[in-house]
Amino acid sequence: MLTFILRRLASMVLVLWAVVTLTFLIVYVAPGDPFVRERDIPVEIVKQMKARYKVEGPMWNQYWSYMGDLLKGDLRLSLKFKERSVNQLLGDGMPVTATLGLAALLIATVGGIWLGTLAAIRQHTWVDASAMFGALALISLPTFVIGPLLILVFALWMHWLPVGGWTSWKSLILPAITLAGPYVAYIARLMRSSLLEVLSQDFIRTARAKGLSESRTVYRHGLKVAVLPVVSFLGPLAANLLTGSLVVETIFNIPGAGSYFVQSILNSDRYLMMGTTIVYCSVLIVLNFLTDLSYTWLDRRIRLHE
Amino acid sequence: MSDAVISQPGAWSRLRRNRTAMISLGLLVFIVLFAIVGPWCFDYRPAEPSKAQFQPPSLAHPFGTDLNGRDELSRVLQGARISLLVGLCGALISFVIGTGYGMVSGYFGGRVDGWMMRFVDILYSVPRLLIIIVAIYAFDKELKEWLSTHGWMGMVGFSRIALLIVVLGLNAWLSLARIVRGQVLALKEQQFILAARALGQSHTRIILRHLLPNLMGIVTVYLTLTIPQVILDESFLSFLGLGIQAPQASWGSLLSDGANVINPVRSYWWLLLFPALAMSLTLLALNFLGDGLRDALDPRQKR
Repeated sequence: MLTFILRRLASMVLVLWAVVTLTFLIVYVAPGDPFVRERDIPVEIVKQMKARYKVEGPMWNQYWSYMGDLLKGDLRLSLKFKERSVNQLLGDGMPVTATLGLAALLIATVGGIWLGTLAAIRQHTWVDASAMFGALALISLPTFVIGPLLILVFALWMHWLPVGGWTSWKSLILPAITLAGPYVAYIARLMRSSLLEVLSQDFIRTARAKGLSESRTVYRHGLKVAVLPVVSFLGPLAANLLTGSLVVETIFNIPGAGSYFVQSILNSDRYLMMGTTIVYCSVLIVLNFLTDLSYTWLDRRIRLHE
Repeated sequence: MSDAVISQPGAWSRLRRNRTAMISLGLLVFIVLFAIVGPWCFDYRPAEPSKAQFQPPSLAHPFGTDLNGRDELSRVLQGARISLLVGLCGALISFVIGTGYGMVSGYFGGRVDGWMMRFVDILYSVPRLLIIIVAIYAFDKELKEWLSTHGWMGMVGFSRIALLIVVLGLNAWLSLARIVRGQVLALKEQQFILAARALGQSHTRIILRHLLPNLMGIVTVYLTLTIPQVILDESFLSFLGLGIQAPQASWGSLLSDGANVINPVRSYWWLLLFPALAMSLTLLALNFLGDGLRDALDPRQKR
């Protein structure tokens, strides 16, 4: 177990370094000087600005100085948001994105497991058929269709919930549902096929044979094993939720890290873009690691149990 | 020596009995045909503005008109052409890379396999869409400049589409590589591969003539499931303003336009409904067809 953890830690550092370097290279080769404006700016001022924003010298020097700052935890200044550092911007944005992501994660797992289980124990009935059809329909509908539709119905017609922004807990509901939508469907499909397979195995037949009630068989014995694929999907799910929040934050006008990322691309705000990419990647890599760890742990416990 | 292909008896007839899959197949054929021949069937003017702003659906404009008075039916049709093109070409790129990578990894096995799969694992943990967005940001202007300085002025309008296809295709091959590798690991233990080797055939020949034909089933399934994924990713980028650019349209950019004009006083519902319907039906059909193909090729997993 310890070697497994150490090896994974080493590869995490490697991946992170690769991502940082790749992003740096892409940003470096990208054409367009951030300090070229329509108006002519005196050469001295451009020089001063370049020094202030640390964009001068050959590539290697820039790379090393960026890596040095990064190790100190300094993500540098934003080029667009005047006088604000990337650290401050992400410090404001990340908690918002994380709240949204966690709420969506909760909805997706709870809703998906519930729906999938329901479909599996009612296999070959209309409940199963409609749940699975609905799931596939949800997967095929992009979030930017679901989002505006929800706004239209619940905010503009019913006036139950706010249109957007980030003011009270009410403004969390619609974005979280929108973000979770496709993944409820995905997990439901995963859960259904996994539970069906588990329920056809020998130990379930034994449980039934010794006279356990059907609900006890399914919920106490079946679910525990069947939920494993869902656990291993949690890592990729977190990744998808984070990138999905780019769109959801844009639709609902939420001041999270995702909307900063989109703006940084549109504004060629290089340090904000690199900072967001690096922070996102670190979060994802750590989450993937935790998923793997919990999966190995769960899997082993179950094997010991049997 | 002729190629050895393990036949899949009854796969087609199993697929034909799957009613949802067959309806999906019919729908897809219809959509693709309509996207190809549509412009000759009616008044196709996707980029021509007129004074008739925000007209609801009527006989002259079955899908209504948009902000600039353009015929929404023409726009949806143009969207279909671009979205399907991006989806298909992107999926084909991912097919070439994924299958090739997976076959080499599985066929040579051992240390080669270990390193190649470790590399895939690493790529898996990189957030795909972030890298795609950064790459589009970086290479878009570059490609446009290159095209215009090398006498390809006519192509500049398509540079964004080409870039999207390549970048999305380069990012969708990971699952396919893993699946193909797994299949090859099982296949290469079989007698006919041993026989081919004993006859002194080269590795390349064995991979291309004996392994590849036996993989086509599973690869077709994943190709069918990759196309909707690429179409969704493209629409995601177009929605953020990083994909297809005006005056061209894809389903994603149309949906983004439709979502932008939603307001409580006047809902221009047709601008959201028709692109959403076109896109969702296509994705739904592709997903159903992919599921049906998988069931047909692998009867064990059939419900």
